[in-house]
Amino acid sequence: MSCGDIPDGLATEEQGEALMPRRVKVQRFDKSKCQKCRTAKSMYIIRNVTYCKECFSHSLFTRLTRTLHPAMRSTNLTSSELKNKSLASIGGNRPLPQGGSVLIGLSGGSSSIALLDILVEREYIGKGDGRVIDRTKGEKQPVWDRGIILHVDFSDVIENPISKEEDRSEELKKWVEGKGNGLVWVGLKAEDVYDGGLRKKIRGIVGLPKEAEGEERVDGDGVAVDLKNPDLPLFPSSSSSSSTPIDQLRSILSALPAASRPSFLSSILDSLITTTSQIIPDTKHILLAETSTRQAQRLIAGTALGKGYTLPLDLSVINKSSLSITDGSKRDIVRLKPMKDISFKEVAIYTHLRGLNGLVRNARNWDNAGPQGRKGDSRGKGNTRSLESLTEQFIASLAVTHPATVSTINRTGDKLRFTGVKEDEVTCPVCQLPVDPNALEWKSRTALTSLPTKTLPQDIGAVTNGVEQGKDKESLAKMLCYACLTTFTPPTVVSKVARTEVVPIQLPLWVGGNVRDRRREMREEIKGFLIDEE
Amino acid sequence: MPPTPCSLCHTARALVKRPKTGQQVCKDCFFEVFETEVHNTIVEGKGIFERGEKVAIGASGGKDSTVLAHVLSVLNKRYHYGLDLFLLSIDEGITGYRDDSLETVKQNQIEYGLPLKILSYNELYGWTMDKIVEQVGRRNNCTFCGVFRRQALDRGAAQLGVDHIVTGHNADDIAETVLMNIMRGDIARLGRCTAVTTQSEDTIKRSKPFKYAYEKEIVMYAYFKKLTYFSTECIYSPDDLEAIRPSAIVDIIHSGESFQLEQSVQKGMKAMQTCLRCGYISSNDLCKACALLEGLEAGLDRSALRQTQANSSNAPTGHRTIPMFERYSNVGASQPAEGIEKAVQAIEIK
Amino acid sequence: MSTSDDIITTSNGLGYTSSSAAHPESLVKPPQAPSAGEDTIEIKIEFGGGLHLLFSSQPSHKIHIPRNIPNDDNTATQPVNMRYLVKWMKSNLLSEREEMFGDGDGVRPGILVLINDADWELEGELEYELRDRDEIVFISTLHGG
Repeated sequence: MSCGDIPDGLATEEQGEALMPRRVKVQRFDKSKCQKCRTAKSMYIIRNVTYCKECFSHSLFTRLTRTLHPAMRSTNLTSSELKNKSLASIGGNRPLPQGGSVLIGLSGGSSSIALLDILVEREYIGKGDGRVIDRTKGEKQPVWDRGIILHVDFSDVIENPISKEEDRSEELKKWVEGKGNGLVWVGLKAEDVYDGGLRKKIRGIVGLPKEAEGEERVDGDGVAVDLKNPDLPLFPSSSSSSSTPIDQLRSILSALPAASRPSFLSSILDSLITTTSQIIPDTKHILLAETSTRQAQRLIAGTALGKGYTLPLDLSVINKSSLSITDGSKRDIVRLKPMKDISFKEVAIYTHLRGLNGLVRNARNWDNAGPQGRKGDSRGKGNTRSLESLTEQFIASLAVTHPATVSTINRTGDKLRFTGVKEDEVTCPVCQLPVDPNALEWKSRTALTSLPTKTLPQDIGAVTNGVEQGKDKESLAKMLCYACLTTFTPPTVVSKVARTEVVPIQLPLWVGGNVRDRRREMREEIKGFLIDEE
Repeated sequence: MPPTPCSLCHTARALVKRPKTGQQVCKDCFFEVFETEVHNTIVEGKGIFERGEKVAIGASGGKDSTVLAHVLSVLNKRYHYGLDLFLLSIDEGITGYRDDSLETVKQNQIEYGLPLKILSYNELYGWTMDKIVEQVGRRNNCTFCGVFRRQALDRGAAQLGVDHIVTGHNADDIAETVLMNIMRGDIARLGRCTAVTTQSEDTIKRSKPFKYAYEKEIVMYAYFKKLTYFSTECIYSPDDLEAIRPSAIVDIIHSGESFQLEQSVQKGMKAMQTCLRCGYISSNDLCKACALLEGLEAGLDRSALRQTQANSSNAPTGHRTIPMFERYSNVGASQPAEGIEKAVQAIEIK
Repeated sequence: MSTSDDIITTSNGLGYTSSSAAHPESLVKPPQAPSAGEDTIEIKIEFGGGLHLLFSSQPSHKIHIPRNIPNDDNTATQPVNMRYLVKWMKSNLLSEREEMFGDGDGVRPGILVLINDADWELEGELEYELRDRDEIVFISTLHGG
């Protein structure tokens, strides 16, 4: 973009100050002393404020509660209301006891370990025995009776070039269980999304009785899709139920372009969290330990992935949704992000100070999921293969010269609003978030992949070979939201050979379930007009 | 390796790989698909243009504007938009650079048979970019150029009696703007920057028909059609994004279009008024250009950016001023309802 | 590098024995110092957040480096600093993927460095002068996708 083509509106007074101030070592006051207590020596500098060890821990906890407590008093607060200081104070020193269970996602990174550590330390989670607390002994009233600690292991599909990706479940489980009886460990694996017995498994771990025969959700019949066809035609499940879940997961990962795999893994994680919260009946809250740094990355990466429509839902501290449970009724569940105001650096320091460094593994390595080094996989700078990691590196390096980057980005993110009406919206079968209207139509209009004036001679040939199968099939592409559509869209250069051979790939069970629900809903709508009952 | 057939017509040999979709296509199909996409952008919804509208193409001589001029002329004829097209070029007074690009624009005028108007900074403000750089150095000259240019385009359009300006901003520009606005925390602009047509209260409508066209494809189009253009260096290269996923640029724009802002933010934006000195639209008493000009004249440089001394409607004696901004007087059907009132008022005041 | 027992000599003549899995703590036996009066200091290095995978999968290292190093124009000596340590680590400890740890002279953005538990940004970053028995912790904060 040359100098003369400054876009509309950029050429105003702000432009002189457009560049964010570079970090200048301002020595206006003595930075060697903690700026909070002004006595102890400074140990850490966070966002240009220095802290000693004590004040650092204190500040961390304060910011956590300032985000968490008001959100628990009223789940209707918007992000900007949450930032309002006077409202923040209504959160009080402790949230009201909620009872029931809280589901905490433990990825094993600094922030989730820090979150759990702090919550247990401050007795937010009960000891699991439901006894009456003794305030005279300094005990605090727990907020929740027990904590369900969910960890999903992806090691079976990550091909780490340096060393074998380790399954950290055992290590983390030992630490969690060592923290008390109030915590229930639920360790799942990514491939469980192909396991028909998943729900039974979770119920078993948590100690719930088995579901009655008729109530058990029939997840067994999966759905398969042809990923080479941009329409994503759906097929009934190929009877490869002899394939193990891990094989099925591996086959879909290798069918997806490398850049799409992290998004897909992310939706697997989300669906497992949702499923677990559905199964455990007294779960009202889900806590996700996303830091401000990660939040900024998600905003930028989400924009680049085309997720603009649902980003406000994704980014908000409070995300209330209605879960349908087996008997058809709905239950409200709230996702909270208490670490939203805390940066990654701070949680890393915290875990170090608590001696948890050995336990923490921050690298998710999703860039290395599935088969590596295939021809045609393109890489960006720094050997990145996905938009997510490109964004992460970009923000990390920007934060060095412009420390206000993360907070500015997040402030922008906080101002975004979701425009749809969540309850009425059609949801995407994969990410289970509302679908932006006309995603497919927008995509095909802005990037033509076929010309109306040119007929496809392929059509004639298609009758004779297997491609015809794809024509009468339902299209998954029409059901997906824009971002998931982008994830699943095949790279357009598909050799003719691959096109004639239709190899449907199994979709994870939750997707199959949603697709079936959609079909059922659509059939309900037109029921009155059907002549023959199928 | 046997030649691959074009993915669109399946007959001719594929010569290029489209950066946007990765499809391998032949030259003719590439032209057709590029032009059709622009046509779709123009006619989508209620359409950018109205029949009979007078449209000025902001022509810099660079590839964006040259291709824009070419494509618009072609589409105008092919689909009968009925538009009255003009070329509008701004001479910033940068020796070497601008002289050559202006030559290109003059050539465009002949090639496409469109009337051309050239407006120079010198005649408008009394300063050329060369002199500005001499005065303020190279660090903030872009600010000056940007402010002056924007006004110049509007003034030029007003002089031509034109209803609508189109610029060659492409998908890469817009994607970059979206990301930049997120990172700078500029909410107000974030909400507006993906709109295909923008219009503030009194400025002329500006549209970007190339909103979904990739910069690389514009270059390819110009190259294959052998269009004359003056090549400038590409400073920002979204190569990494494109390498990982070709559709990323359009995906960013899609997200940008979906962004909705908090209500309170929109109310807080400044109400527009007119500059006391030259009559151009401004959010303060003095428009940016007049303020900058005063700074230049007084021999100051950066302090003008802070608008601290911009308070008198009369320039200090001896300073050059910008001629009064005459609002265009044709109150056509293209005006939105509120605009008509304002235009009527303007006529009465005169 | 992670399996051999060769002594790798630096320009100062000090050696470092790279460890194999059998030795959890790497120890250094410096050969006879070439010039009189040259001391070494002991530094403990710890890796967190998974960074140890780049360093022979060992989370903890104890090393010795010279107390003084030549200054930029080789006219005199100056106390050893973090800049030297990082360079030293790249040549002697790093077993994989240099670009995931280093960035030019410094460390890659996203790696947090603590010197004796304190933020290195407050201690002068690369210019911090190391002392005997300092503990340096490197923590990676990147997810890698």
